[in-house]
Amino acid sequence: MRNCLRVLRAERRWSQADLAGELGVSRQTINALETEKYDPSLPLAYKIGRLFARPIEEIFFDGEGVGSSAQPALTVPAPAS
Amino acid sequence: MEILSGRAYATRLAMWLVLYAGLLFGSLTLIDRNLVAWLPLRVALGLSPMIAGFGILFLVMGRYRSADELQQKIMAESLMFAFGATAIITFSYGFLQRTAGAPELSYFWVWPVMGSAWLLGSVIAQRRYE
Repeated sequence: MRNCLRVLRAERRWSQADLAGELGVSRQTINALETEKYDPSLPLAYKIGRLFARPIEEIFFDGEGVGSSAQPALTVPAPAS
Repeated sequence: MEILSGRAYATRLAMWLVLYAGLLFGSLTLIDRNLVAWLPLRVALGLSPMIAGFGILFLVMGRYRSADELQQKIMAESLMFAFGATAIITFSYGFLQRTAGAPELSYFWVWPVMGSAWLLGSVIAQRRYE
């Protein structure tokens, strides 16, 4: 699964440790989620959705199918040169 | 449920290991000097270090239950690796004893094999999610 967790976290200027504290998980788990090496359980995905006040399909997407689920709702901004 | 931090876990583990060492030393001293003749008491004394063994078992289980979902996954994968690797190694050695005359070994060797495999499995599982 792909996700835009890093973008949402950056919008709030949170560190990975801050987000981990909000969600009650380890910083390692946040890092694994952001690098898309680990897909969260449904309860954790809902918790993330509630924290960022967004439906989970706007945060997590599988890159398949049509419509909004095929693309991220948020994209990573290009780094400033 | 109480969430065990890494430091709290390490502290409690150290306490159980100190108790284990104390019970081991005490029981071996009493048994080796033949200070206890009654067999049931000798057996109980000989097994007394396993009181700490149970403490460590419940500590590790508590650590697993209080871990978050990714940490639980990593622990489960590393234990699965240790379980399988220990089965393969001990069975292989058993076959070598029958076919190649490998020497008898104490059952005490099972835990070092499993513990080492657990450690290796932890490293492999951790790297997968880094």
